[in-house]
Amino acid sequence: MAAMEYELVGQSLVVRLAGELDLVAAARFKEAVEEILDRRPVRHLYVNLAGATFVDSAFLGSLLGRYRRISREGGRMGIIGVPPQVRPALELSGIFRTMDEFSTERDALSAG
Amino acid sequence: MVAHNRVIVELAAIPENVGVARLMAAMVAAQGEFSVAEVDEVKLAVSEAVTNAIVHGYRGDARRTVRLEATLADGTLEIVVADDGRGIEDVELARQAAVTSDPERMGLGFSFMEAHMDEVRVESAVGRGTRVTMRKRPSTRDLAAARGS
Repeated sequence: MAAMEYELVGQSLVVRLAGELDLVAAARFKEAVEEILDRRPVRHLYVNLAGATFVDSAFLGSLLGRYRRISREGGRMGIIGVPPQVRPALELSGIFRTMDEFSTERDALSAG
Repeated sequence: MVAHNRVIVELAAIPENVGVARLMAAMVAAQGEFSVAEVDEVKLAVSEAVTNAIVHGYRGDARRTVRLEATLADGTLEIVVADDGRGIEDVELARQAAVTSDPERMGLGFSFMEAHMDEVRVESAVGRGTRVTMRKRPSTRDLAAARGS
């Protein structure tokens, strides 16, 4: 079961996700982030995966869906704290070709 | 270690059961001689196959069921994920990376299955359903045998 936490830091939205991230987490992530993007002046989106134990392509698709909106509106999207056990799926998906990777939230938020 | 086992379950086609299917398959795989990383690979492949059945096969119709079979035979794990849903018109096309019917998805389901299992066979008939059969052998088998486990 996945856990999600959201924090607005200036113009950046940080989403922290933990647990198994699959089709269920994808739907929750999409719904929650879209609602925040509709209501708040968010420009950049950072997804902290440090607590993730599993990631599949359904969840990666939900990241890509948000990336499309964020980049269309001129923002930046980054992935933070990728744990070793989920890295192979992220690498295989090619998601790092479109999104930047950061070790920590501080690195991401200071990236300018 | 269990040399032979067979578990068959039917799952309502709801997203919450993707995790149930992963757990089941992982438990059977863990009875064999698969490493922790290999069990993770099995989980990912099963997740992709069951998600496809729910999302594409049944288009979210929760009244339908997905059948999962996990068999350990002579150390090899065989996973079957079958649905009676819409079926795939062009299996070869569907298996290509980045082919998807939904902008919210990556079209990587079959690529992930192929990357993590030794064999992936897809049988599908439009209007009748899809059956994905995947096999995996543990890479650590010789090592485990040498340890006498």
